[in-house]
Amino acid sequence: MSPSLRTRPLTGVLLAGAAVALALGLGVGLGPTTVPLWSATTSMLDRLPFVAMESGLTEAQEAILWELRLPRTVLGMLVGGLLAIAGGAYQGVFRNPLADPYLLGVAAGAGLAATLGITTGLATTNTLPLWAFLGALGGVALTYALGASVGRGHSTTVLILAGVAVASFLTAAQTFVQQRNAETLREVYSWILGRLTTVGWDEVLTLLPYAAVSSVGLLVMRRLLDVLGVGDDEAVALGVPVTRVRVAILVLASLGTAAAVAASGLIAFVGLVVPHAVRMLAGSSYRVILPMSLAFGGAFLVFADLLARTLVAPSELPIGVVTAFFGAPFFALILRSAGTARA
Amino acid sequence: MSLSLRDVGVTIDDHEIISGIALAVAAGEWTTVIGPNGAGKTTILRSVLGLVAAEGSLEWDGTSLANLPARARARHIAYVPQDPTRPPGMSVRAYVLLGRTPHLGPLARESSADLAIVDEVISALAIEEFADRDIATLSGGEAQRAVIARALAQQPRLLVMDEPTSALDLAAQLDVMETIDQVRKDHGIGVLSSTHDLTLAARFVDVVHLVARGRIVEAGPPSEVLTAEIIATHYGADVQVLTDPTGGIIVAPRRSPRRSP
Repeated sequence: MSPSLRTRPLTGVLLAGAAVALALGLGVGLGPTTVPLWSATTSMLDRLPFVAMESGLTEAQEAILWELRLPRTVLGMLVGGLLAIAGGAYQGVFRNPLADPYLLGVAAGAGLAATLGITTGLATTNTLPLWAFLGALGGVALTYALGASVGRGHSTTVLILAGVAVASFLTAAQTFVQQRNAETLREVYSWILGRLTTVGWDEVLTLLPYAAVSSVGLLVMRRLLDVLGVGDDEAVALGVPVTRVRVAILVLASLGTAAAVAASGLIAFVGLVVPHAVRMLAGSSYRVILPMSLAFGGAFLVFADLLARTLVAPSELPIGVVTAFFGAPFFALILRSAGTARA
Repeated sequence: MSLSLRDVGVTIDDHEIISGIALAVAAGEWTTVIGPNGAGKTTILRSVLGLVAAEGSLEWDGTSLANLPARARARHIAYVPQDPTRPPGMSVRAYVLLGRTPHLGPLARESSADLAIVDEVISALAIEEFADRDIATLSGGEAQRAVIARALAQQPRLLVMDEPTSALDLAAQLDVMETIDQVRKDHGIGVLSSTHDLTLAARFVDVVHLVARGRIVEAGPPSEVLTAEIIATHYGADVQVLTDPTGGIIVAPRRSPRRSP
């Protein structure tokens, strides 16, 4: 499978398109109330300008489709895609396969700020994402500041270590605040474990501009990630302003992560695993890894959400639990098959 | 097109690594720096590449290298490191294509002209055979050809090579040296290299600079610099310098009698 994908980029594009389409169809169609796929499609087409089509959906079905399923599915696509493309970018910038969006204190910062917002009662449902967003950016800023204060020259390792230190500290602070405020424990937990619950399009619209800037920016710079792969000295000798490129990519990836975390809480595993799965299937060039991660990350999260809301219906599983619970064995499977293919 | 270094020094953490370095490399000329470990050979090369901050005058074709942005410099000067990073999973062709980086805008993509240059370089270095293989799986000699191919894809006027043959077997050493020699003669590319292999260097290079304790202590054609006396003084090694029937210099180590059984 892998050689054909490597030599034929079209196969990858088709595969990514199919995954996204399938996720969209299932995400919209499945649930306690079934919305037939054809009717959903016609209903969507009907909303396009100059198209008039009769979907045959009841008013309730229309409402479920447009106010619940579709926004939730689109939000899942955006969040999953952002986490995955950011993960791929971090792995490239640090030349470290274990790098992921949570490495730089992004998640820990968001967690602490959101917990503070919830426990002090200052954050409402509408302003919670803003708290998380500011916390996420604060976490990254702290990591950068600590990394830069240590010294230049070993920026990659130092930054990762700084991220670990900042994340540990912020997580400890978050746990402390959480324990002191037992009455809001449940609310904090539900946010920390991640959720895609949304009513209407507000979250999607809030997330969209950040998603666009982050993913378009990263896609435009993806060729340079391949150049960084030969190491700093050689990249400089090839004329790449390594420090500036690295900072630009980190800022773009952190912005996307912060926006995703703000919209849906802490969803682990996507940013680590999706780029790896893509790498095993389609080769190690970031020109392929980044766009494919965007597509497959989106599809993966929609599938995970589908399981989260159907497995124990009418109640819901936290999506972060699903991504780890099903993502880990799935990843192990790919790891094994890639290993056998190479042997 | 020539490189000219005058009174170049590099100081790192108050520690003087090299100082007073003066050397020049003209188009098509091959200059090598030799010297004991830690003498500062690599630092001289790195100062030319802009990888360390250097004082003094480093000029490329009359322009100060300090005023040349990294991308412009990379269009003139290409680097073949001693231990190149070979990203696993990258094909040789994609690796050689990285050499086009300085010719592309930061956000641009390679054109068909860039791909044609890559094909040309690949065939010139006779590496078509493994052009589609994973760069990480190549043997040392194959990899070194791929790295040289990447450097040539930059279409440079000067090649900076740090011990280009140090990790290779005999056949690959000769092969790489012949390749470099042919490239500089065919395209008039200057070469600045470093090496420990004095015999091999003597066969190919025009000028040898002997570096000791951060300074150039001897410079000139191999026949003038590679004498038993000079080598004994600066390397602290007892050698015999022989001449083969074709006039080539052979630097052969001698065991000191007191260590013999």
